[in-house]
Amino acid sequence: MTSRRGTLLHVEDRDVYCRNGCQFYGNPEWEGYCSKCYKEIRAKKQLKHSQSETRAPTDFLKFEEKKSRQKSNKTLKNLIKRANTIKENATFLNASSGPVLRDKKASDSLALLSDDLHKRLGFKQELCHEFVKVLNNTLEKMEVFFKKNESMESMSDMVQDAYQLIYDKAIQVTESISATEAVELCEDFLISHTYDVLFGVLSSEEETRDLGVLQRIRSLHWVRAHHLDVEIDDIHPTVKEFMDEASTQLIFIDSKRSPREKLYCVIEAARNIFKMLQAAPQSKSQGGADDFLPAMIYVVLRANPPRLHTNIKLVTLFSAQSRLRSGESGYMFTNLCGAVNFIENLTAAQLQMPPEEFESYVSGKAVPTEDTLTEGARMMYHNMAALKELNLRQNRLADATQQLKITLESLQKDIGDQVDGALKRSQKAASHHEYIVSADVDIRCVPQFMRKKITRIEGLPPIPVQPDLLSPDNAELPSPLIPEVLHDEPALRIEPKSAEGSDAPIAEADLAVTAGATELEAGAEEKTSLLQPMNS
Amino acid sequence: MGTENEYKVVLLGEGRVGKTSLILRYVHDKFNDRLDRTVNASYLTKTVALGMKRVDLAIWDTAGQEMFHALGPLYYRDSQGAILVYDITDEDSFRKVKNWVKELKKMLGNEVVLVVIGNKSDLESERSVPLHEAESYAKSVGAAHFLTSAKLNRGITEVFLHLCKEMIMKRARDGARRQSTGAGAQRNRLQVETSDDNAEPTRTNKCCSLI
Ligand SMILES: Nc1nc2c(ncn2[C@@H]2O[C@H](COP(=O)(O)OP(=O)(O)O)[C@@H](O)[C@H]2O)c(=O)[nH]1
Ligand SMILES: [Mg+2]
Repeated sequence: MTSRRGTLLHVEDRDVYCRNGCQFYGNPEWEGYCSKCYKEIRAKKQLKHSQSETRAPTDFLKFEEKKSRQKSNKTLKNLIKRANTIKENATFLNASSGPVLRDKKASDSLALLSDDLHKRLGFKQELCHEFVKVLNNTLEKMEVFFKKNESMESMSDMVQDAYQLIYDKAIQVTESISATEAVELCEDFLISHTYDVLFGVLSSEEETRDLGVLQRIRSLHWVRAHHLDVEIDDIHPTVKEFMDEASTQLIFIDSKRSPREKLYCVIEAARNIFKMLQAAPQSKSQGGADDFLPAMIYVVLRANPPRLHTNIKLVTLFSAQSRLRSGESGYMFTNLCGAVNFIENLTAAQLQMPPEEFESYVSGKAVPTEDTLTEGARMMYHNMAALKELNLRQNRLADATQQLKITLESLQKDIGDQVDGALKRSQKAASHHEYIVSADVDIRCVPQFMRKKITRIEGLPPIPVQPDLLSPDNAELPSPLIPEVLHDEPALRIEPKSAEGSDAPIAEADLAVTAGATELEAGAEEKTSLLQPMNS
Repeated sequence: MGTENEYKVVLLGEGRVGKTSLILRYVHDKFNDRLDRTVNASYLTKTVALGMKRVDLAIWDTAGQEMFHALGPLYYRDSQGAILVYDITDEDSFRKVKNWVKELKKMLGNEVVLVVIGNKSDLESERSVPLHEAESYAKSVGAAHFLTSAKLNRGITEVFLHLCKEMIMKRARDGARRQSTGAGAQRNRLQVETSDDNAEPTRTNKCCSLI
């Protein structure tokens, strides 16, 4: 998802509420419908298909149906009265046989998990089987808990004991990091496997509080960063971008199916909040808690993430405790909880505002003057900032273009000069490049750099050039490329006579170096053919 | 769960006394560094070697503004150490420390090691909290007292060293007591020397009472 402006409202309106447009939350697990609408649609579908559904979902749906019936006549008064309906709920759940958690899917996932624990974390097979046994036991107990309609807290205790048991088993054979990871893998399985049922029960328990905080946040729309004693320049485009990303992550929490993934969203949101705090050029933030907590509160207010309490409770109850106690995710999660708590209990005194004023804002009777005055101005500032940035970028682009043009021109000139120079030099070079050396001079007496440019006269022993050229193995092969031949390389002029006659007199001085015409045409082929007879 | 080397330390104190500066100095050796800012200075970790022992500190910064005071319990629960910071030039901040101590004693009892810090010791000439008063107060509540300066990097390492030693001793003592009383002995049997406080089956305040 892109985090453009306006995305948030979009997300909130379309993705969070039921696809049928009724006033309830939709749930990705229920294909975006609320439980009631989803149930109706499922029922229709089921009529079409056979009635061969497993018992678990239907039982769960029965429960959901109950829930949605309560929802359907929801008014604020009913919400308050809800406490009384818990008993009703209980009798309902007693009547049902509870969800089946140990199904085929569970055993498949457990097999995968066991494999993972064995291969990746290196636990022995037997130990992995023990882990699986613990998890199966836990699933069984959870079924009983659901059947008996036990409280989520006691279910949490039981699940936490299972985590502890797994940890204790693991820590005996490995160090704590791997043991913790094992617990997290088990947690991942356990919770995502039972997620629908857990989340269903939790969200019905927390429904009132979820809606309460939702409405509370709406009524606090007028709260600005400065009320919370933090500087957030949310007109600045970069700041805005980080804030949008942070909000998006907070909204995503609801769509993740395990405590680990939910916590990851919280961490991502926190990262973006830290960046947001320091994005503005005039920012003084050190990234300390004095800025971070208010910024978190501000972003929660802007984002209004769905089902905050349900999600917080799910993580608090069913995430392995070590992570929440002292880890980084624990810290960030604590700040999210703190933000929600702060929002729910916010008073006029905390904002240093007369209670009547606070009340009039909350009830929507009034809007802070600064706001009415600046709502248009805010927009204008926003646009001005955007324009300014655009202008800046355009100027930079123009500068860069100009620079590029100049560079290209000088480059063109440079290349022209270089080509001219090279041409002149090569003409000169072509004219003299040959040294005449008496043939009986030992090649070792000729300086290295001259050896390939010499002409032997009245020569004696040949220059031992590239022995592999002469070996019979290579005779079949095409003649090798000899680069120097292409250039101003003088050919070796070796008289055939000199190859045979070995005792010719020395005709010239030891090292007669003469500049002569170069025979550029002398190809490699010619060279080898000249040399071959000498060898044979 | 968690490791027996892990300790959570929380910093409490009025706004502007220098909590964040102290953490940044201790963990990154920085002070007011505008050019090289640390993005997240709210939660930092540091590993301390104490002789043969290794201590993993998780340091939690808190927001000092009065309006967030009520959120305190969310931050200090489950912590093994608490550093209470005041500014030696600001009497109010010292009063605030006393409030925090009272609250911590009430909520956590003796579960937590307390340290009282007078920060900004470089501003000695502007001191308004008498040293002997602060020291005798700290003694009266069973806390050590230190003078620090995040600006000049004075006294900070000592604070954390002291805290580490105390926390280790406390954990060992508590572990021993738990074993002798038999409570949780089953779980601790395999870790005689460094008892794991987290193995303790008390999860009473696990679900934050506020949420
Ligand atoms: N002189 C002096 N100033 C300090 C010291 N520690 C922090 N400060 C300054 O006090 C102000 C508040 O510090 P900060 O760390 O943000 O306090 P916090 O609100 O408790 O986190 C900042 O301007 C710091 O530069 C110190 O040891 N000496
Ligand atoms: Mg701070």
